[in-house]
Amino acid sequence: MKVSRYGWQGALIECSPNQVSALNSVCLKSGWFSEVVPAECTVLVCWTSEIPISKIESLIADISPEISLNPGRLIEIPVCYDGQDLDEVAQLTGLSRGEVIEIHTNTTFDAAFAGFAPGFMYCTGLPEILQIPRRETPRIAVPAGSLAIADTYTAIYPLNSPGGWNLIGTTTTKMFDANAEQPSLLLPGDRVRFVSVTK
Amino acid sequence: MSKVTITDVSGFITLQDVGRVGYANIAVPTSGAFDQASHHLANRIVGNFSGACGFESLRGKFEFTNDSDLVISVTGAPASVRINGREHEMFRAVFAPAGSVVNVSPGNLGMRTYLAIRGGIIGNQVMGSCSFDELSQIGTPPVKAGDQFEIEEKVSGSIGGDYLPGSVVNGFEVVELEAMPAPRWSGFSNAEILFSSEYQVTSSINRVGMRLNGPELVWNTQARLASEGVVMGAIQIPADGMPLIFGPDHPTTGGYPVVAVVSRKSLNVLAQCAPGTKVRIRNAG
Repeated sequence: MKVSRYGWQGALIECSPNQVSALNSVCLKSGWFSEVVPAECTVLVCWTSEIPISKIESLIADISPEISLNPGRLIEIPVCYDGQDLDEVAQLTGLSRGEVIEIHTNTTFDAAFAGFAPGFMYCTGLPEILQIPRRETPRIAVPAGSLAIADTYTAIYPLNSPGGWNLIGTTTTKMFDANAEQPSLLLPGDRVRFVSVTK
Repeated sequence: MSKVTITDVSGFITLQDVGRVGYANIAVPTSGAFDQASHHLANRIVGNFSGACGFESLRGKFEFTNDSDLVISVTGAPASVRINGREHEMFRAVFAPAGSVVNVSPGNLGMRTYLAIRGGIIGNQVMGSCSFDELSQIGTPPVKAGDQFEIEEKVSGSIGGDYLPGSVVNGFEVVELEAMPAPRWSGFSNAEILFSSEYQVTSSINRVGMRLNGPELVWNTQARLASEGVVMGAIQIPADGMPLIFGPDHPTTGGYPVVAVVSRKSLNVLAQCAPGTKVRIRNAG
């Protein structure tokens, strides 16, 4: 792992993808940082009063990829697999609609990191057979609650927004509520399962 | 509780404070006043706590009436401040008796004017801040005619009697910014040109980011950079090689490499730079 200064009030920790979750929880637990921002293979930490790089290095020194941490919360999200792109996904993957749904619901995903929009959580663990690129032309409007897949990720659009991912379902579960005590249903480190329901 | 009623608005006027901290991991940036120095100064002049909420006007014109006596101050980009038609100085505490018409109109220099009211303005608190975040579209919606805001009674001290002028970005002189090389600095084949060239502020500027124009920075690998966390002030280099400096409402993660990070102090200056302003970036790392 490598810790580099990132501006006057932050540092970027580079690691392997399987260390991100452990790093995230160790940095959060320390209580030293104003922001802890995990991503694909980095964790950004920010502070309000300076923390020397050497101190961060010693904080994370014991983290190995094999470290077993308490697994994150398991969040189940009911989803109706009625997405506009489900047929196209089936065609692209050579699977039937039913098989796409079965594979997706049988996978436990990891909420890895957020980006793009408030509460938009990139979930990893998508089985290889479902990994297809983003749509060539993004949609101008994707409704809140749309379940989508693209590249190695699955995610739910928390708010109405533009979007280029393949839509496979919808949920009525509120993913982001700015006025709630915990605004985002999912936090990095959570495990996620989707449960198929009919409307 | 006393309140003000907005009677006329043109342009982009928002409520801002020091922003919301601790939510970057759910993709919500800090937000807050772009020019924090001017925002703090306005609060200090009227004896407010530094986190008090006030108006940020992007060269907008706005007018309000008050139902009880108020003390206000106006800082940042030069503006005309009139109370019942009479001109008052900026950078000073000004008394507005109940029933006044307070009018703030932009001048030709700088970009953002700040107005504080003694006691602080009560905005729509979302995730610990009233700031309107242009990217996430959360916080107090932009100010429009007919809006009413209550005034708090939280003060930290007495009204400042001193005249405290701020510096003004005049648009003619080259502005110097300080920055520190970022972790991806060495991934560029010509990163040093950032510190040796003159850049110009383009018209693509808002609270999310400010695009500059000048010599192209070249990322020396074709490999996709994995998305990683981004800080306020980060100078990101998108595919066209032109620097994009992230403001208070920046995306929290990004896939384009960041070459350097501008200091918060320099962001205060940048917040006042109009399109066409020439900037030089100094290596302060």
